[in-house]
Amino acid sequence: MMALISPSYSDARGNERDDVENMFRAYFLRQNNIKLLTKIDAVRVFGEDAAELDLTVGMAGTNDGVFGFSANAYAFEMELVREGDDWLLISARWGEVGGEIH
Amino acid sequence: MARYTNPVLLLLAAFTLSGCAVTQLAIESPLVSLKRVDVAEVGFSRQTFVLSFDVINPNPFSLPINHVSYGVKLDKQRFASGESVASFSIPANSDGEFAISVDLDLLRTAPQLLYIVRDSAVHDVAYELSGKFGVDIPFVDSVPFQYNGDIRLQAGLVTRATNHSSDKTP
Repeated sequence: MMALISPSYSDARGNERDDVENMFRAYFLRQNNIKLLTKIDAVRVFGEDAAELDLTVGMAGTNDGVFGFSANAYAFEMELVREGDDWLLISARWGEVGGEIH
Repeated sequence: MARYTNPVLLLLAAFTLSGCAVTQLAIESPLVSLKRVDVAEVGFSRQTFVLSFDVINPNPFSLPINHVSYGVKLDKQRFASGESVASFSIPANSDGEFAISVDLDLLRTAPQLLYIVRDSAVHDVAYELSGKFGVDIPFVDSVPFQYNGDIRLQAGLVTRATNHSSDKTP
């Protein structure tokens, strides 16, 4: 999965690529069984090597741990660039649906 | 020949892969204790305290914190509580600290606490700390914490804490 994240990744929260990897680690180490419901809201392509992707993601699943996941859905706004033959995530903003996205 | 991969499919694949993870581990609540209470300002109608906390993250990943809510009791009397926007990260399997400034009017709201604070200059006073961390990771709930310990007022209006027990909030 990290191969999909650009080495130049940065976002408004101050996250860099390593921070995204940390988030993935948190998911992998937390969840027992989880399903994501995704809805593509928009795709915008700019020229040959840039694109934006708006996603709404909901989560449904179970967890054997003490703490559960929030049931809220999140809106993601992702920026992608083509590096070589691959499209990589270079920035993203997100927030709970109906709330502020940053 | 160049290979162009659909970015939408790639991202969806990434999400799908993340949904396949199966493990028995769960996030563990950070261990938070009251390290120190500094009296920054004492006035007739307002007293400003700076509460300093030690926090240990037992998880193998860092916790980016964006919100802290807390409550502190001294000798079972509510001393301070509140919420604060935060922007710090607790490293994986490591510790850190943070501080919160609180303004109180003990004469009006809790005069009995004045006696407790005065007595804590010569006796340990039990404290109870509880609260929640808001974690800046999508879909992750707030993480609660709770800790009990003792605290004593030191010379120079600085209190230092000794901690002897902890309870994790289920």
